Amino acid sequence: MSNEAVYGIMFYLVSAVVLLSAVAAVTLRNLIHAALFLAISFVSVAGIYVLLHADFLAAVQVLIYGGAIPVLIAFGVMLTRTPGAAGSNPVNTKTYIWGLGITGALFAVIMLSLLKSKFAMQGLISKEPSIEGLARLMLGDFLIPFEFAAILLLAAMIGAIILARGGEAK
Amino acid sequence: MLKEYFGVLLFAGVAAIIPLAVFAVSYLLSTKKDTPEKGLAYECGMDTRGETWVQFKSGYFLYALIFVVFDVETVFLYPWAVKFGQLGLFAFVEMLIFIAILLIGYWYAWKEQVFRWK
Repeated sequence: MSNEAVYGIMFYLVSAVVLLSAVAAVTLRNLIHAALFLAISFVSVAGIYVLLHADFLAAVQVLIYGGAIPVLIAFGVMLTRTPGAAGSNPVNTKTYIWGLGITGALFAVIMLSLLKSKFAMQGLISKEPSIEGLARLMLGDFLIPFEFAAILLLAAMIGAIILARGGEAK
Repeated sequence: MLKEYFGVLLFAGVAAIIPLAVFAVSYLLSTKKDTPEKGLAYECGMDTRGETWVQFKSGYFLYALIFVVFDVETVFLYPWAVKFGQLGLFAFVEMLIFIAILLIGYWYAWKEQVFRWK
């Protein structure tokens, strides 16, 4: 089999996993099952990034969307009071039409812009792993934004602590 | 470059097959006699009381939030760790400052008794 054929098969396989697990996340009645399928969907998106030669982005996707976000969702489920696992992810049938209309319009807009734009792919994909250049840029030219990212994270952490403890007596 | 990732694919495949195989073996070999006790949630061998789906304290959530912050820090550490040999002393000092800034947050969490179990 040629490299292109293998690439095509892998792309459609990974895309199928992304889409099917996303559908499962929306339709499953148990919220914890839905969260697990969402995690599978996120991790499979990392596979798409790998196929696009974006290795650093794939690692970030696995670390953040495969690790941190499902943990937050699981904790969110644990912290909210629901009558039971079975009906914890109810379906809102009243707004089906609206949802269908809005997602249909969004799909049309995205497809139109995709079909109209020309993709100049040749020469853009580098053969070396993207992490090498990223490390050089991040710790060299973009030193100040890099350190500001730390301050941003610090602010997020302190803000989260203040918000989460706001209701409690000191 | 993509060929190197077939190892990852193989790894994921084996990791998916092993738990399925364990379930299949236990399905094939186990005796199928259901009693109400077998359907209970396992809680250290004690009978469960009340609902098994309970609300947790918000204290747990703070652990998760702090975990997320340091998870994001890992993303920044990762390229630095990969190219550590070539980056030199300057990048090392930069990363020390980066970690020091985040340690302030850790110190704050400690001071606010986030880790204290009440």
